[in-house]
Amino acid sequence: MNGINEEQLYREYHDKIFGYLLNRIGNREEAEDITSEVFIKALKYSEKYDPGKAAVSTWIYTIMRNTLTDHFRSAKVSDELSEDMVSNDNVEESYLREEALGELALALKKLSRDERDIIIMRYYEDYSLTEVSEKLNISYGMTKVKHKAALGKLKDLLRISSLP
Amino acid sequence: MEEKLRKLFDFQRFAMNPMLQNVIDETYSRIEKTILSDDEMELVAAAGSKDVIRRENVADGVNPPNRINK
Repeated sequence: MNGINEEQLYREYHDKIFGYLLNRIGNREEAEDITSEVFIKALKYSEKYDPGKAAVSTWIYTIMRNTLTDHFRSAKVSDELSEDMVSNDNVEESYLREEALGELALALKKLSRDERDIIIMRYYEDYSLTEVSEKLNISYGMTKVKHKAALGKLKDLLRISSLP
Repeated sequence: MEEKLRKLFDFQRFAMNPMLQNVIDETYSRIEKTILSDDEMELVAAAGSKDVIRRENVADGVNPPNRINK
């Protein structure tokens, strides 16, 4: 493989991939099947991997997401597809790096507690702002205000906002 | 910005960065303690402590935490 040790790749990413897929699909057997497909593709396309363009984690994460998209399409479960999964945008998401996750953690810690909760519930849990306001027991209007404030602060704090 | 956040958090479900997961878990634990059912409220009243309610959905290093029930 292109600078990639097969055994190490499997050891390091199998559980992460399986865990992610199980969370998404909810079916253990299907998650195992798709996990295998991901590694088959990784082996097949390993020679095309360019470490200068993306970290291994980003590369295999992309293979995983594409494989999952193919799975949903073939199962014709169209309502399971989120907008970013069906996007034909193949521009490499170079900001998807471990370091960016650490940056996000530090930036979130600089927000107020409410702002942090809103961001996590909105973008990690995918709740609507209405649902967020109910969960946090804050008025919808105030939730919107704090949401906008949080996005503004994060844009200033995160270097990723300067990426295309 | 919003789309990048969404994608970063999705990547987090895969990469499980520990620092970011701690931040997420802290929100989870606080929100789940706030959302109590009527039965759970009785338990809290009886026990006299909010810590009676344990977090069930914890990332175990393999699987991301389950979504908070909507």
